[in-house]
Amino acid sequence: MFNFFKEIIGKADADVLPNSFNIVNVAGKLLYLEGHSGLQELSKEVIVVKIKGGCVQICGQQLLLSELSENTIKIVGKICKVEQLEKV
Amino acid sequence: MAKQCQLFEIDRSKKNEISFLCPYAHHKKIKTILKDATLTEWQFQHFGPVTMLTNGKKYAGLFVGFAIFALFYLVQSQFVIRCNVYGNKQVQQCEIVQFVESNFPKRKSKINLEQMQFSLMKRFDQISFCSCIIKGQTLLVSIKEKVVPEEMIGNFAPIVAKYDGRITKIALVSGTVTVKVGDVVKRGDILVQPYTINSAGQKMEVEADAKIEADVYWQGSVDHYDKRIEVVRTGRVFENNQIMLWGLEIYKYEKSKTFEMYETEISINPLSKNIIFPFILKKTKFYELKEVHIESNFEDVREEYVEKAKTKALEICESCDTIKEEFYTVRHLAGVTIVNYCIITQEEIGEKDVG
Repeated sequence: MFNFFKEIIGKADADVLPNSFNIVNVAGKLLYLEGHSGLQELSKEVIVVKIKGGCVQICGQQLLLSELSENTIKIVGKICKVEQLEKV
Repeated sequence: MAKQCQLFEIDRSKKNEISFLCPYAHHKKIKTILKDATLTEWQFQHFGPVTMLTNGKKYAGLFVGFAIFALFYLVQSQFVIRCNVYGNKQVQQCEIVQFVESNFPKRKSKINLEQMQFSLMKRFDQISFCSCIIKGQTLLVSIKEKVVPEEMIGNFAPIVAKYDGRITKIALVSGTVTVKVGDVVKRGDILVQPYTINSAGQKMEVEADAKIEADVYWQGSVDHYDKRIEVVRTGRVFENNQIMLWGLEIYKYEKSKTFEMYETEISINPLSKNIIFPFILKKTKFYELKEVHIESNFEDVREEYVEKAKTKALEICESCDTIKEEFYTVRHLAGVTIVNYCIITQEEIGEKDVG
């Protein structure tokens, strides 16, 4: 079966890590993230998710953590910004 | 927690308050995790049909009742409980129902309707067409019976006279005529035999059919006596009353006087309309009678007696619209005069002898 992430990673020239996290933002209304290692912050405006070597901050309005499993997250709401923050 | 089970709709409405959904299968695991965690307060809320069943103990009777009803309905809906037969005239409905019940199962899924139709047509010769369908829990059997002409049945009956009379016209269709125009016949005489004799002298049975007309005589008779005794009411009357309840007499009003000769009229009327105490009033009227000696001359009342005799003749005459002729005769005997009124009508007197 076609694997979207594998296909993209295979074609990418950059030195990407296949075991790292992936994010899909659908029209700024839905965000899917896989490869997380836990939640750091949760509110209606900001959700911070831990990843390897840092965290991802999702900013927006009326954010709702719709699904949370071992390594995937689904967030719905108005997503304004997705930012990767690295450990200092 | 998310490592052990999937969570949904995680909502942090306040800083120190969070809610989420988890699958019912994982709720015990979540409970254990929450117990181990240092939380101030937490609570579980269940949704869905399983929760309704587990929490709805007070509706247990209703659930059980519904379940029993559903089970009963499911079981009994699998069976045919009635059989209706349509279009039968010769074949009795009970015969078909009995045949179906004894030869086919009651379970709907086991009934082969095509085989049932075939078996019914094979078993009952009178059936020419048969259709079976199951509607709900009723088996509907629609049949059409064979129409067999009388000649094939072999029911050959002669035509007989239904009145006394004199034959005036014969129009034969089939059969052998045994009378001729002018013959006087009486009721029951055979007019047409149900057979013909062919050129070889053989008797061949056929349906007797003919139109036979005759003059039929209808007579009415009245006797006139020159001297006679008549009993008439004098006009004196008295009344006795009784009130009855359930056939028992509970009140009686009876006058002591009686007449030497009397006749009575009894009328019974309910006193109340209720059925608990059906009181009945029974009235008995006594009319005094006396004998009167009457002497009359026949010639003075001739018209009256002729009219009486005519009325009697008309009473027995079945078709007054075909009166051909009418006359009366008077016979004088010792003290008695007999008036005979005769009406002659034109009638078709032939009928099939069914007896």
